[in-house]
Amino acid sequence: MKKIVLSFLAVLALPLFADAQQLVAVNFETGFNFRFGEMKDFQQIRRGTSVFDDCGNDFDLTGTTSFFLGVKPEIALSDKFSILAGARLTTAHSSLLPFDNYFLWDIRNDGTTADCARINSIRQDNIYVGVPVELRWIIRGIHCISPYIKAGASADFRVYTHNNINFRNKRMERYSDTIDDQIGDPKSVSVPVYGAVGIQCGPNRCISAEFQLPNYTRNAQSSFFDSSAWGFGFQVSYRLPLIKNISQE
Amino acid sequence: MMKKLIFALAFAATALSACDDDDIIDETIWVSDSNNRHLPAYTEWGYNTFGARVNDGYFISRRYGYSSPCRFTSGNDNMLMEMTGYDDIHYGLKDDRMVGLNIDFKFQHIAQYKELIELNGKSFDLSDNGQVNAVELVFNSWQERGDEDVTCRMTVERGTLTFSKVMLLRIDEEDEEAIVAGTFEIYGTLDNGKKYHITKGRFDFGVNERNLF
Repeated sequence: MKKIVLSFLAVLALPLFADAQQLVAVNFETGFNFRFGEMKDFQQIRRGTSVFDDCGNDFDLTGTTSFFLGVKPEIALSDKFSILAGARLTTAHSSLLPFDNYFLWDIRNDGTTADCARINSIRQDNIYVGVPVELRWIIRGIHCISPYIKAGASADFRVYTHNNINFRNKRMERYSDTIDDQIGDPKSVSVPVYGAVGIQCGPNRCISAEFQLPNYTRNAQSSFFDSSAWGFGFQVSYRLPLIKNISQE
Repeated sequence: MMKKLIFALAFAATALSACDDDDIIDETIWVSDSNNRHLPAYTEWGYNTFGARVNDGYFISRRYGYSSPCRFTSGNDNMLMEMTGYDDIHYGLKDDRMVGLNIDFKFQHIAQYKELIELNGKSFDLSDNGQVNAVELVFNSWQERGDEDVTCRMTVERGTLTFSKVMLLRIDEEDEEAIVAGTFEIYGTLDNGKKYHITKGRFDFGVNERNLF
């Protein structure tokens, strides 16, 4: 953990060590991504619908949806390659929604009595502060449109988790804390990796839009999933050039 | 007239929402055994399923629906457990299809389903006349007798039924049913001389006023 924190501090400090000709721009970005996952086998959940040959599922898994905002200084390695590293704030949302109107959650089971609550849905919100590091290759474009491809990874630190449990019977709300404990928190650190293709356009290539393919294997940013695998996302960013001579090829 | 209509609509809405609440525990929830897809997995949730290997076939409960595959009838000093299902392999192919297994235990009178908890962890030796009054198999022989169920008494050579978990299910702090789950195995011979080996038996029932008499 200590190593991870130190390495990210080093990444954050990268622009400080870059000389004036290398630090070419600061990128402000926002976007979202969506990924699917295998639902955790919660022992507390009673199934609500027959599953034939395991082809079906009694939960409408919405996957995890993330929205993010970030800022990334850009260091040029050449006229085509650049490294981007910075900070990103991500909110990740996931829900347990049954196909039936509700499902049963076993709050307490002492072997002779099972105390359950009817629950309409559970939504989990997580907030992460991350340090993304990306390598971008700009393909020579035409006029002022430049396509590019990108590979990156982000070390995301969980700073906030909240479960919104929608009980069918409001008097059961006093068991929210018990169910919170049973759900548990997602990992405190996750390191998603991603690839992206996009285009830069506009004066000084200041606007870019990209399609992302994130991979969250063993990095599910939700307590509801064992692991989230591939997903997809979209990002737009504004690039504020600091030096024009290298970046404007 | 308008008042009556509003009352009728309110009544219908209440009735429908009440049914909705009941559905989830009345429904049969079939979760396949990962080691044997013909059988339900052993569960302790009151999923209203049972299954067993019977000679070269399987005797199982229906895989969906809302009617319980089990019925308990309590007498003064006995308790009859009736499981109703079908032969999964020979369904429609054989004239002697097993459709029921009845076991009559020697047990105290059960006035209400909550008292079934007395059975928790209890094991019955099905070959011991001191513990069991009778074990019967029910067959449907539609080809010979025109869709008639025939009950045959079994002489049990060895067999056990264990109520592994019997517990009360409370939902939103209200008692709903007793979960009755367990396993069984029976080796025996019918009156006609045919041998029956019932193995890998498992059951998981929800029992309340609907199916306890």
